[in-house]
Amino acid sequence: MTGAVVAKKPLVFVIDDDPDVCVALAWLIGSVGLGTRTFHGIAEFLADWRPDADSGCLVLDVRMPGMGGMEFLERMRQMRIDLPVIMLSGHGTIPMATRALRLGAVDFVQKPIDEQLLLDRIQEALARDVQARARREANARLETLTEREREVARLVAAGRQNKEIAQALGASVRTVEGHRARALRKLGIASAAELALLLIAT
Amino acid sequence: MPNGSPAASRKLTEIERAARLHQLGELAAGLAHEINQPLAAITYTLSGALRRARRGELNNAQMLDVLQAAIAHTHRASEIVTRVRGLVTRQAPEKTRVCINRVVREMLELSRLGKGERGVRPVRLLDELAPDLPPVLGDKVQLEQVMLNLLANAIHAARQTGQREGRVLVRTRGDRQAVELSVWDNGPGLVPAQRQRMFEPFFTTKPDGVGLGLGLAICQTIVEDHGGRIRAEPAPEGGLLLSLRLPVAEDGGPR
Repeated sequence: MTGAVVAKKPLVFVIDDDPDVCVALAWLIGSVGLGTRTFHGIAEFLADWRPDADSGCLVLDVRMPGMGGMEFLERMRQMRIDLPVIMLSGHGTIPMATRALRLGAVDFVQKPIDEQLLLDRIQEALARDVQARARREANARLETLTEREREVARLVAAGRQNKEIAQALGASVRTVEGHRARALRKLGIASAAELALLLIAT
Repeated sequence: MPNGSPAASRKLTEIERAARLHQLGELAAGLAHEINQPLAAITYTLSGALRRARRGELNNAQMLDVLQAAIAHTHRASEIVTRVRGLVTRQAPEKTRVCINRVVREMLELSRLGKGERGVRPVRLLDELAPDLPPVLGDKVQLEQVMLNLLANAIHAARQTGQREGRVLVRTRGDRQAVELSVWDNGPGLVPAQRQRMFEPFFTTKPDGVGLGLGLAICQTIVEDHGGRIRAEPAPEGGLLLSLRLPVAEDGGPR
């Protein structure tokens, strides 16, 4: 897209305290060509977590000793772990599901689990994570612009000529050219078309 | 019930019925979860294999692994069924020679199995069982119920330990007259006013919906019905110590 969002191979992080289930889930997910990493508890996952981790999604059991799945969702938010989550539940009640959704869990899959459904949900979650990352990346880059540069960038993306922009902002064409050049340089892009794509992503 | 007073027997039947129902519900929920785990593992394992096999990507070694894993999971499921069936399908109460160590071991095993209550802190279950413990004369199912209740209470208490690791220790020892069983937890313990009332039916320190307050009342009735006694005291190490004494079976009793 903008060229700066590097598409790494996505990973599915499987967290289940039951070692049999953990291994079997990873084997199932691996059968559609996805990479997996398994953890036997939330603490183990959190200890391993790096903020710049690969794109991916989390699959975890609601019922786990230590920190439960619901509590974990709250902690994830505090720790700014933005991965989409698929919660597996043996006894998912509606209030629990709505609470999970409100906390940002992507999905709530009830046991016994339909494997195809689970795999579909994982693919959806991974796609969502890629989009979310692109959006965060674009936003982060736009943050580096001054307000004036951002204004100019938006008008450039909208297809306006430098002269029109200068008129709209009450500045000289030369000043606008300067803002435009700096904005494109900071964003690491070359053309107005790429700029438009970047702004769409935010 | 040859040894119990009529009043004690009446109390037992009333509260026993209510408590059995409650325990049944808890047991069913725990059991459903425990059996679902190996079933889920089987489904994932076989489905993962099927997907690979359809694309011709399942080699022989993988296939053997898959089959072995699936069989192991089915064994795990049937093991759970066997253990629970042993607990619930016993017939009319009957006094036989009972090995208390065996009751302790089996109920510890069952409690470990019940750790399936997710979202709660794990508790370490320890035991120090005297070798060559003499048998007692009693109803094994009832004694198991006592043990299970004491363990459930101790585990619940040991979860309230804050940052420390929750611990429960079961000890047995015996002499010629009696077998003594004690269950210690490192939980917050009870204040004297609570300790005084703890064997009363419907007295509970647990939040609503967690306990009916019948467990210890039943335990006391059963123990007294067996000619023994049960008491609670604050443990020197902190937490609560529950101990009970049961007379040993005399020679010549039914086997």
